[in-house]
Amino acid sequence: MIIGANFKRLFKHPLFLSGFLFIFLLLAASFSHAIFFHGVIPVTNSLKDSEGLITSFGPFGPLEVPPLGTDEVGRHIFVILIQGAKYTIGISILVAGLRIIISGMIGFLFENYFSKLNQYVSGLVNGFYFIPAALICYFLLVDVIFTSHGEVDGYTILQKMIFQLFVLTIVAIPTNSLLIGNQIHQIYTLEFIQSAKTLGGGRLHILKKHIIPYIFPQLLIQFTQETIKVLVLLIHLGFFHLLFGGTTEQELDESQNAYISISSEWSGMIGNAFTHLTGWSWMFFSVTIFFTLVILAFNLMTKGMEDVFLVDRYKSGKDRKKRQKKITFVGKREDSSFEFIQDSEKQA
Amino acid sequence: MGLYYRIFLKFILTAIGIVLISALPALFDGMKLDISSYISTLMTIASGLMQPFAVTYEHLQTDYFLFPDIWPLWGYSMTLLFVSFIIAFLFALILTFISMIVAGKLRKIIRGILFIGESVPDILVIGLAIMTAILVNKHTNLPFFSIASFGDKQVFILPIIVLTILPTVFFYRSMMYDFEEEISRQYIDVAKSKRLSMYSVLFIHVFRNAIIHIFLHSKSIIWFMLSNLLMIEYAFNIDGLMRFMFMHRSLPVLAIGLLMMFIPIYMMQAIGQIVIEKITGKQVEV
Repeated sequence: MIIGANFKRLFKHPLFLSGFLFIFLLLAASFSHAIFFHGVIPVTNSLKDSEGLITSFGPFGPLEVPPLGTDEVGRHIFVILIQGAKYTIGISILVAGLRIIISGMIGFLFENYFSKLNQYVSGLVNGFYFIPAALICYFLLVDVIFTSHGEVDGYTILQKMIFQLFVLTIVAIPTNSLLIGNQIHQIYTLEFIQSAKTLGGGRLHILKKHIIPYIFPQLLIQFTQETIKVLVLLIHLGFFHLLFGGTTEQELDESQNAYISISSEWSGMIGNAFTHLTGWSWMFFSVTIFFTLVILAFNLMTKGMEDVFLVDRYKSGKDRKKRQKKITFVGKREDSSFEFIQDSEKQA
Repeated sequence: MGLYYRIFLKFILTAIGIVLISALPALFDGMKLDISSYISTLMTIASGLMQPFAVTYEHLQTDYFLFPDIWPLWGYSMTLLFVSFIIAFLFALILTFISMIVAGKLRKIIRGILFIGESVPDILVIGLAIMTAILVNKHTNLPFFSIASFGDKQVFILPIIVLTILPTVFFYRSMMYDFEEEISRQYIDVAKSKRLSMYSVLFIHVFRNAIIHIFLHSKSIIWFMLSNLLMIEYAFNIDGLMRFMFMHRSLPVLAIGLLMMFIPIYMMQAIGQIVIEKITGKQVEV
């Protein structure tokens, strides 16, 4: 019930709403492009003048072919980005969700049954804080995902996708489990859990009625933060030409290799676009700016949720100041007529 | 448990954790689990750690000894990391002080800009930096904006600038949070009522108390900086340790490289922990 009321407040929160609407509209555009336009990407290989003579060959910048120009083979980048949005956002939401759900379960089990080992396990898990996630993911994935030129591909696309989802999920499980375990531990020390225990609540009852409702908003916030982390990880892997669903290397000519993404997901464009950064910079910047906007939207959602969910819980300094201001404000406004301070506080 | 025992235990456990994690790629043979190869890789890494001077890496089909070749790479990466860390910390501190002092509207603008900055992926910063450097090189003749390192020449300025920007933003966020938390405490009201100036309250009392929290938050910022460093070394073609580990794809080299990065960072954290615990008398966890 309280959660329901909070959700209503959440959708009235301007920051959350704007972030949510951006993601929603992007996904809606992406799906409607697939449904109504059958995912067709317009191609402009050359520009013609009014007499039908070819004036120039691509790739074209954003000024020649609005809104975002074309890539090496003449496809319109804006449409590619719209089309790929559902994959990129979908993958990151899926991976983040899996991470949170699995680490939530592990964290709960760990906190309940193995909490004595906490010190040792947290020491071991601490190792993850000294390894860039992209590096370890690269090492884990490169043999499966990357098919070099002239090599036989041993796996199907589906297998690669599942393996990549698996790897992207497990690399964050240990740290997240520990984090959630510690949060659960803190909830167990709170007063209302103690009284529930005194009143004879069993372990499962307390979990169902007290822990989960309490931790749910926190997990939701962690979920959007985790989504951002997955997006960044996808960018990094894309930079190393490890593309979702597999990379096929093709030789364009003696000096150049093209890395072709099998799915049309965003990060696939980053590695290629970076090599053409100085020449065709719009390719690189349009895709990274789209990534930035999506991350910004998720950040806005996180901020909104923090404002709505956590305000009552940790009275942070800002809110305390705000309340103080309110109280003095009421007092000042009604200083013409005599009133008890206590009453004015109640009104506030 | 004593302070030094805890620090030592954590050091050993984290080092073991790093070795276990860096051997993980051997666990998967393609997509199949291969536990025996994982264990044998662990053995190889362990023997490599026992005799680090016997570890070799392959370069152009020839084996070279890892030591002493790795030292300059390590030094380069560590210089970039620590210099950027310190600059980012100081910058964020200055920004925090400025936004604590200025009036509400300006503070909101600074916060808003840095909130957007939090969403910028490091790759975009690298791209922008390269474009700016090219522009600068075209129009002026400043030597220190060279983009890629050639041969023995090492570049410092541009990588350090890039490696500083985003950590500054993240530092700023955690600093603002801690400063505002601290400034709403009651002792601030006492100090104000005693007519201490806002500056002395801010610089002495708030700063001293908030810095402890900030230090404890710095772990995740360092983690972020490490992946940032990997990207920068790859993008700028820097002969650093991260790129070395990335290019050679040998698990013993990975484990040793990561441990070599871990030790100085952990030493910094441990010194901070000792100082904090001695001053405050509270147990903290870095």
